[in-house]
Amino acid sequence: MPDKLRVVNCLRELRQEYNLTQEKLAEDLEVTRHTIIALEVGRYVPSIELALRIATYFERPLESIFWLQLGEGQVLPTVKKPQ
Amino acid sequence: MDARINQTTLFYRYCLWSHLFTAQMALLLTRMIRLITYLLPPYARRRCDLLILYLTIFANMIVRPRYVAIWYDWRVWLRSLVDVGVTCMMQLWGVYYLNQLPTEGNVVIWLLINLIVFFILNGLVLITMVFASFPIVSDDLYREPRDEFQKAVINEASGNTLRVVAVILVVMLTLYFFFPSLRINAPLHISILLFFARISYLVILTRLRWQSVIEQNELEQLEQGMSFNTEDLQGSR
Repeated sequence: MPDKLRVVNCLRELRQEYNLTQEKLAEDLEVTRHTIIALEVGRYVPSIELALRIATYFERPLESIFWLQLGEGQVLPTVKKPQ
Repeated sequence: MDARINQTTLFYRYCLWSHLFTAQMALLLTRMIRLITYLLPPYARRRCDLLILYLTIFANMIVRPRYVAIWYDWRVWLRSLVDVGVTCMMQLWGVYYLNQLPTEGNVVIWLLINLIVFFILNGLVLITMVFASFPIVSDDLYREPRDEFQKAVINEASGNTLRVVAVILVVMLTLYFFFPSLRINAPLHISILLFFARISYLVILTRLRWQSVIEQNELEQLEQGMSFNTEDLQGSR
């Protein structure tokens, strides 16, 4: 069975780096703590709006927080460009 | 790193969830009573219909405790009115097919009485909750509007339930088409359908909620482990 492409993130590590609790981060991003939990465990892919807000909040490029991963370890830094 | 959870908030959160669960069970109870009434004689069934209606009103107000915080929102009242309206329509269906008039005589007066009781009961419940200082804490159950993840969860639960209901409904309508004699028991069939739909919705929501709790516990354990590593790193810098 072919590997499935999925969106992964380093939100938990980023939050740890800034010494933020899930509740504080959720409050600042105007979402619930359940959303932060779901994002950190990879169970939920945020909308573009939320992803951009997260990137703006941490002052990091979006692709440094969210990226595509194929299977268990193969990271896709780029995607195929249309012909 | 401070990963502690406010114990008071946690306490209220689980109280509210058990409260919500109780309310859902209350709604299930009304469905079960509805099913049982079909086994009763007609005169007893009419009395049970009113009891079911009032139980439905009360249970609906408990199911949505967060609405207590926004009792001034017209959409809350509209939603409850729709729920009650559906219940009334089902009762009228039973009246039409069973060829029995409500004990109050005129159907219109019967409907008006039910609407008046609906507003009185809803008003009493809301006033009681508001002035009894119902524990409205800063919890996701009370936040409006829901964020995108909650909406996704609710949509997933609702979508799954609706798909099941739609399939069963198609089967029911097909059977009604080919077997007209089955139509007289349509309220019973719909009651059974709604009963299992509510069970399905409750199970899905509970599973999603419990999954969230488990993930949160796992994350906390992981963070406690990582906090020691972070302190070690800071000490070495």
